[in-house]
Amino acid sequence: MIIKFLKYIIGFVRFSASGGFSEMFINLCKTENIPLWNIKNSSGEITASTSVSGYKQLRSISKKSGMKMHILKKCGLRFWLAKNKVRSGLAVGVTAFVLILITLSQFAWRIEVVGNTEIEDTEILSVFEGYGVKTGAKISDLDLKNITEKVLKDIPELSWAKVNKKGSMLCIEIREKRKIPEFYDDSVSTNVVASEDGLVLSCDVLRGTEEIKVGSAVRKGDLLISGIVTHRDGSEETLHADGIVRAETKDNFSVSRQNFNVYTLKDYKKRYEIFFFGFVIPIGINPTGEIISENASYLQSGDAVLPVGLIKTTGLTFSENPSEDNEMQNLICLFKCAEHIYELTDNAEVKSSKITVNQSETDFSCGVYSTCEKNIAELKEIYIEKN
Amino acid sequence: MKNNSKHSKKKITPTENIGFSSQLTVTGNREAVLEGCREIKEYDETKLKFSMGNINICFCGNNLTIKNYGEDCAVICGEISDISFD
Repeated sequence: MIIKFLKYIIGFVRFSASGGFSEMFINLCKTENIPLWNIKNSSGEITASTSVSGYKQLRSISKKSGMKMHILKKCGLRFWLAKNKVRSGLAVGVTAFVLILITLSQFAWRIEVVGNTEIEDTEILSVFEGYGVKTGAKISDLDLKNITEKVLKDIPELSWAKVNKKGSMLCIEIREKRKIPEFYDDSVSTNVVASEDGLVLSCDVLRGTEEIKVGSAVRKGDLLISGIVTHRDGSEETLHADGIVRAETKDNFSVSRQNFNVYTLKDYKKRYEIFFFGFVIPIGINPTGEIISENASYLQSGDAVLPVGLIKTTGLTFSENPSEDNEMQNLICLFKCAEHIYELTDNAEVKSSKITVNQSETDFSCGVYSTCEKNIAELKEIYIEKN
Repeated sequence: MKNNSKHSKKKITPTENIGFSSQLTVTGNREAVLEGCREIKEYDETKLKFSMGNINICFCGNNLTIKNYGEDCAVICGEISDISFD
């Protein structure tokens, strides 16, 4: 590859020779130290490549061997420059392109966060942004080592951070601190009680004395695992009881359209801003309204997000009095039911769900009745009277 | 005094004379690197014969090209079907 590139820079000639003794021609070239490469012979005519200076020496050899030579192609930068020397516009364009490329490569086009599991990208990026590490920042102006040390102080959950330059991209590599396992604090004695009504399916006691049987029904507040342990010698001790008690529970949720008010959209204003390498160029005036939202879309090349984009800011103003839009209220009711089922799945396994809808002339209501399996263990401190 | 043309030629050592200083490296049937070759005896698309001193080495095949031909080394490319010595 390097040799090919050097040959292109120096320049070479592709020629053909025919009508004589091809073997003699090649041997003479070797004797005279004229470089030849890519030699092909087809029915007495040879084609080969040689250097520019070598081609000048070939004339005498061709006479000796009785070959007639023809130039097929002149390759290389010197020939290209000679051909295009009158095209000044092209030269200006190429120079401008190179200059723009060099200038733009000095800025951070993209910032990526790698290695985080608990802390959000946005949180890390916002802290770095405070120290100037943002899209469009000049990389050479950033004291990355110093900035990283400051960020490590600002985010105590981080154990290690490093900003790597990958061309025009900055890659923030981080490692989060491992959480110290919680130790039981025996100075605070606790019982484990039921957080809600249910049918006990399993009981795993981590500490304490089991007070319920699998298959028994419990009510909210019932003792599940006791924090008072009786030893063989009859003495008693209080400790921090803990355990996992999984139970089948019922969950009821209902909502009526009377709970919601619908306001009609009164005014809608928007404004665009051009984002170019960290510079924001606003087009128009700031939108006003009760709810202002911002939506940014950036140019993409494959997976890479380019620091050029459009930011749309919208301002929404609503009517002062609620409107009588029953259909919309009904829809909100259904949406709230669906949202409730989704929230249930956060800490419980939903076995079955039943949605009921009651519609009358004046009202609309819907309810969700779910059967779930969840951990109902809840810690409750034991208060001991001191005599 | 008349200069004898035999004395002006390069001296050839005994090992060179019988072709022991030459080395042939074949990569698949597409490329061969020949070191210690003196001159080309015969060359066309299907046959390429090199002189190595007292022995000749002959490559037969299709589309035989000399990718590089240096002072003492030749790189032969193409579809090599046969290599023989005579």
